[in-house]
Amino acid sequence: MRKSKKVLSVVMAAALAASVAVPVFASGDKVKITFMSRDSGDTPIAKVYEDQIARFMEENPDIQVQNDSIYEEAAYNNKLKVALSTGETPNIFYYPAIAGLTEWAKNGVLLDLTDSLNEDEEWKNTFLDGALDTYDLSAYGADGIYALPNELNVDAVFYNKALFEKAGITETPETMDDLYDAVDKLKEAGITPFGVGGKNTWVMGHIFNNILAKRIGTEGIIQLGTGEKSWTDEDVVECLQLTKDLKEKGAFAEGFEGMDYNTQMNQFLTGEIAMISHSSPIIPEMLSSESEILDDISFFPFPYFEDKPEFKDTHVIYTSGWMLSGTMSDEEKEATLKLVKFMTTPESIQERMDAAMRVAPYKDITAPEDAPEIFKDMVEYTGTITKSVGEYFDYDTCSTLVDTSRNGILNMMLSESAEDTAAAIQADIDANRP
Amino acid sequence: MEKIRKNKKTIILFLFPAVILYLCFEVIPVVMSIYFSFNDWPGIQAVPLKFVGLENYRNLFQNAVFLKSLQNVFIYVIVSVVLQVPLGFALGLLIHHFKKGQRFFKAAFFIPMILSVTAVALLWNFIYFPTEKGILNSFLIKLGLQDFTQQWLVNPKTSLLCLIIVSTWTSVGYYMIICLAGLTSVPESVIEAGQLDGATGWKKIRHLYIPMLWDPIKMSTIMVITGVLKIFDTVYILTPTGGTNNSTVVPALLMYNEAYRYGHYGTGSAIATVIFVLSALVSVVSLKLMNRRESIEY
Amino acid sequence: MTKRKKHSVGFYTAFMLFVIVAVINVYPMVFSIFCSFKGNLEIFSSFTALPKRLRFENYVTAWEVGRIGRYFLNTIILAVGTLGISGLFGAMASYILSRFTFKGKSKMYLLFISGMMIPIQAVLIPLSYLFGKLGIMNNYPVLILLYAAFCFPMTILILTGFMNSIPTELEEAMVIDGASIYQVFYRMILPLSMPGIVSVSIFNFIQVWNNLLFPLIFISDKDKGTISMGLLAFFGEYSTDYSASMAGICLTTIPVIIAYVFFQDKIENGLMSGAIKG
Repeated sequence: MRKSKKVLSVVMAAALAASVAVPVFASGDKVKITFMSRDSGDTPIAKVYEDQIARFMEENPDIQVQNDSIYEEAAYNNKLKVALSTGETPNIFYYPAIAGLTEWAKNGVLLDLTDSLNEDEEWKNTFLDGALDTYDLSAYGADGIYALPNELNVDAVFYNKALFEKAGITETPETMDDLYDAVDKLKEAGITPFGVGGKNTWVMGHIFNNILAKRIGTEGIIQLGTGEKSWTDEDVVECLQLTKDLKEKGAFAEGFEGMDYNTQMNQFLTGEIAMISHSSPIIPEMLSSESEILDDISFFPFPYFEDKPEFKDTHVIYTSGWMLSGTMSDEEKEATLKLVKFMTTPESIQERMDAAMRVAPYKDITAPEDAPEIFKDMVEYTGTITKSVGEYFDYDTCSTLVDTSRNGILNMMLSESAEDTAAAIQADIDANRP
Repeated sequence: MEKIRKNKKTIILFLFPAVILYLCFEVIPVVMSIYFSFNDWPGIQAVPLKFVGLENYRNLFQNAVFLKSLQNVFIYVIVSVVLQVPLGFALGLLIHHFKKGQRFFKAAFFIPMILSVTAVALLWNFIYFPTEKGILNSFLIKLGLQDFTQQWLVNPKTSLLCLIIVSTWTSVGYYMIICLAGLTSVPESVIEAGQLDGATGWKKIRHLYIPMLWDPIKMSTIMVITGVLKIFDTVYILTPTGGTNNSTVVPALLMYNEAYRYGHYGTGSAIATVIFVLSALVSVVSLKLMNRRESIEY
Repeated sequence: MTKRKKHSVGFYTAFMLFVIVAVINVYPMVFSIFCSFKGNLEIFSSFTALPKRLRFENYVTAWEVGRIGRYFLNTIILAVGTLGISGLFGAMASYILSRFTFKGKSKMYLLFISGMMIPIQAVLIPLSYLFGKLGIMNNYPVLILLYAAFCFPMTILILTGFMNSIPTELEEAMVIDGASIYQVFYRMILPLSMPGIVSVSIFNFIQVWNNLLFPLIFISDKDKGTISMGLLAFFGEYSTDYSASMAGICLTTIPVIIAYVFFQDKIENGLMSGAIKG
């Protein structure tokens, strides 16, 4: 046994040595770069990306772009993490994190875009003011801008106008009290007020996040992420309790904890439920369905709390961005920046908006004339937002927080108290925040 | 003959291809993974491994969720062994006896094995759907058993059992196939002899088929144990977060999260190693137990 | 054959139960076929209803977007290669482990069997270290060897079991007649273990067929993708095209089920009778 182990270690060492010694081959004279997003398959946005990449390669015959995009979350995650672990970081990729990028930034996995942006003022100016700050990680100890904001997912409550009318609701809810009223009226009319697919824990998580934004604001959420604030603080526990109260008030369908997101969406689109909380990319998805109630769908911003008017205008926007590899050769870096710039020209962005109705953090982008009303409204609404905040765990370097908190919130809906939930989340942060 | 059976040249020649492939593609990666389990590593190539000894393991065994996952997976293994092997062999024996329509039955039990997880997930989601719209709940209501309707996958009391049923459903066909293959290798004459003795029903199964199929039964049991201890897909597609209050959390799910989502590659590898060691232990113990029975049988 | 008369009432009861179970098992296929003809909203409106109209366009989408045609062929190539390698090399190793004596035999057997205990995600990163850096991505022959290596544990577990049950006298007789050990293996052991090889090949086929992780990591060339990768195309962050996905599943699964039913009998019967005659 001992001997065989020795043999093993020799073989292993040899294999590893070989793996270091063999260089990565470039195909011909072309510079090869990989693009890895979550947009793939037969969605409109994926088709635009394919087109744009093809056009880019036509214009730049010396650059070969490989589109490795995968939509399915687990598959995407597996592929990306394996690539990072072997140092084969995709040249351009997507990852849903902000503070969570710090470790990668510190270890050279990500390119600091500060210089590239400063060298090209015109390019830098196409981004909305302040949008680039989203990925400024200096607060977490990594100076620099480590990703380019690329899309905005603007949160809102989508509702069915016909069902609201049927229940006798004339005004869209502006405050939480209005919302509670609407819930009561809908219930009286025998309509399920809110569709929630609890099985996909992000759905409940987003509702909680909106409540958090309207009660402790951007500052509060950031403090929660950096540890200046604790989850067991009274105001945070209160937010958890308010989330739980929505269930007590009968806002959700019976059995929502075990339903999945697809079911919830389906019930909304078939006119069974009155509201869903979602964000802007769902608009094209809804419009491409065969739903018969499309004309009745509209949205309103998540209501605010009358006792917290200072956070009335804080809205939840999830930014998704492109990260660039920090381990590129000069040649690769040049080609990659060329591609990124190609994809962020006003024309390219407008093209994506036209075809796929994506709201983007760039200046001078307007919804096309012939766009559906609801999308035009969304673009207009986005333009009015001055204060925004993302997902609470985006501001925390604790990588397990996303699951612990979301699972915790779902368990809270079933049985746990808000206090216990807060304590459990805080305990996880204490154990896992680097 | 004895000499032939000790011929080194033959042994090496026959074993070589399998051994070398196995060494390169399985043994080396596993050894590397065990090595990772003694290190702290965020899964980034640029960051060197940091040797931490047994710390990953110490943390694991102090982690309540991990302990819960071990408990769940043990229940999973025991119930699965009790359900899957007898069921698979019973089906195999029945199919063997019923020559007419054999193709149809074989196909019927093959379907759950080959069907993609997407279809399996969608189907069972509908069966276990939490409201009265769900296939199972509506069935119960039709039978007048309203009181038994459940949020099957949400209720911590039922969720694990629900998953075990799905696993059983997808894998019973395997053991049926093994049983059938075992039966074909038994000469007809032995069975005929059993028939002439007038053995029927349960007696025949006990004294003829079980001893005859003891080797395939052992193999199947090992397959169930090793398969269930590393189970991931079924759990992930039906209860992606590990269920209410961790009622369906299993080690492989935690391993996936640690290694691929949280950037705790060392911890993930440690979980993998625990799965591996447990698997080996349980397999060896159950083989020992089953070998003892065999000697009584004959 | 007058066997049937001897069966007891218990047998018939068991049999009826069995028929019911079998029918329940066919239901998922029927369910998938229904779903493949429905629209996405329709699937979720009523789980059991018949499609309102047959949407063949789902199949067109599946064929084009999921690239089912191409990927079907690719997966078959990978599967056939894997079955060949794992079947032949696995049988060779099993023969030695079942019949020969040498030091450390039982340890080697356990080493092989222990492969069944490895969660595949655990070796993904070490494997890609070896693969990626050695520049053998997108390489079917290597991928086939990789699959085969992961098929060995179960292959060897089942085949040694089978070979153990083949009487040794037959071999000895052949050797006395002047056959070499290679001839014994090729002419007798291999054909006699065919039921075992066929059933283990079925398992191995399913492993290759449904495996997503290996092709996901080790194939980046779109033209070399597999079925499981193709089916991913219907999953979205906010929506899943279940209709097209189900159409894809039907397109790929039904031929396999048909092939299974017809092939298995043919292979088993053909080779078995060949063995007895030879």
